[in-house]
Amino acid sequence: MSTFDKTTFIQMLKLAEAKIEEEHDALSKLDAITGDGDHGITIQRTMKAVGQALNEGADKPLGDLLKTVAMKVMMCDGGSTSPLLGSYFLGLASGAVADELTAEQTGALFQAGLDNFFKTSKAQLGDKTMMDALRPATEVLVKTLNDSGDIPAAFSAAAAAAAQGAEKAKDYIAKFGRARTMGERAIGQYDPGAMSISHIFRGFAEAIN
Amino acid sequence: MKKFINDPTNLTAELLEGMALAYPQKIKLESEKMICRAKSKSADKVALVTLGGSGHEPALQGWVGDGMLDISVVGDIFAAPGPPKVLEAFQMVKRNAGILLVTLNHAGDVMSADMAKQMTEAEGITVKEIITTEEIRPSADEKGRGLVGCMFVYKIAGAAAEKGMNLDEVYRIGDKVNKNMAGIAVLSEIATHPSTGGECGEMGEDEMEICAGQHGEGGGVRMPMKSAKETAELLSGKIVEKLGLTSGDEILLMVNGSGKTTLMEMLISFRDAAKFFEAKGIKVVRGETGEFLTVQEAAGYQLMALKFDAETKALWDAPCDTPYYTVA
Repeated sequence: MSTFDKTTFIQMLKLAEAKIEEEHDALSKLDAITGDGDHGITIQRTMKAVGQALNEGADKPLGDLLKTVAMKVMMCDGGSTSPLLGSYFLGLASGAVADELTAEQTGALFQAGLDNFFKTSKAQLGDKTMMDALRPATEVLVKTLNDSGDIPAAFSAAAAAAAQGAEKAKDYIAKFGRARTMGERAIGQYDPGAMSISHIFRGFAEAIN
Repeated sequence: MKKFINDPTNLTAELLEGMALAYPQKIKLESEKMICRAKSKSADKVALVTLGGSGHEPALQGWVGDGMLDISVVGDIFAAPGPPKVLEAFQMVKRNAGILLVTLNHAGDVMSADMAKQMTEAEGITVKEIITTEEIRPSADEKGRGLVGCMFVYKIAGAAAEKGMNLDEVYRIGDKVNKNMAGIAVLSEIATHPSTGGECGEMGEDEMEICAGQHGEGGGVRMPMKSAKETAELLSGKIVEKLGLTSGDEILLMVNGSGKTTLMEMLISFRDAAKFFEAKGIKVVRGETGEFLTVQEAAGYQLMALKFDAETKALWDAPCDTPYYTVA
């Protein structure tokens, strides 16, 4: 496949929503260890909003559709999850120059998502947050797209990088969110936000392959 | 989980509806998850807005009303409301006198408030924000979270706004309260999350935790369970140190029950804390015991103190009329 289009992206987001639906209980349980035990619900609510926005705005051009998704996500009461993912989708919207994108343009789309995510998240790599999965996933995605142009392979590589990032985040001390006050006791525990990003990218990869 | 609830995904909407039905002369449910005054304040006075998750009743929306808040923007259980709803609140109360936003220092709340403020600037609405950080942390260089002390800011800055002071003055007074209050939470039993039915953490049978925050997220200091007196003295000592209290100082002291702790325990704890302060010559001139900001059925309490000056003391005593705090 040499291009990436709106229909494909909708399928990817819907499979990501389904992955979160399967995992939300486990995510809440992870959050009970270092947080307040509700990340699974907030990410589930957020991804449901994504699905709803996709259904309602399916006829819109990709950029407008992603803007609709961003607004719906920000309307969720998702603690920090809704502003963070809302910013991400706003960034994706700004990168959606057409309904069908080349490999390079697809890379630019996801780079724009990450760039806008940075504006809301103050987190660095290693702070035990969503960033630990989202940044490596995006970097690998963009690099593979630019180097080989193989879009499905790029998403598989991104999903692997997200999973690896979420795994590595276990060893970190949390610098943000409710886990911030745990100090060294957070070491060895998964970050539910990073895990969610990993599930989302797994959904992307499975849908496109 | 054994709770009198209906749909676990609709808890917030139902509890807000209940509050609005119980206190129709004071508040109304304006749009979804937004509690406003029944009769709005005149537009030449500064408006007070706050935001935060539900599940902490009566906080925060229980203090909307004359002399305190104008609007409380409510999220879901323990989760901040999204930025567009905060923006909607700003649009509802926008006025030349300006808006004071009070945000408790929690990642989601701060982020939502921040995005809403950015959206507001484009619309020419003036908002000043106070982020409450009164929680005492185990290490001094760590910024505290916002606990029940926000209520002191609502009450005192709210009274200043009601008197017709301008935004700079209302902000100055609110900020002074924020800088002169300190609090600390002790937790002995963890809450159940009412939506999932899961525990919000874990706690050993004979254990308690200080600096515990208010969601069971942990991060405090665990120790064997202590008596009321030992606990109150431990917490009070940290407050004295944090606020630099000395003989002759006057304080407002609050014991805020987390949900399961009985009023009996709160009163005993208040007694022990008050005696500790009095023994140091620090005068407990105003006190509160009860459930102000709860965490479902968590056991424990927050000990909160505000060092008064003449201005803040007079404003604390000024009249207010809200569902869960009234001064005649």
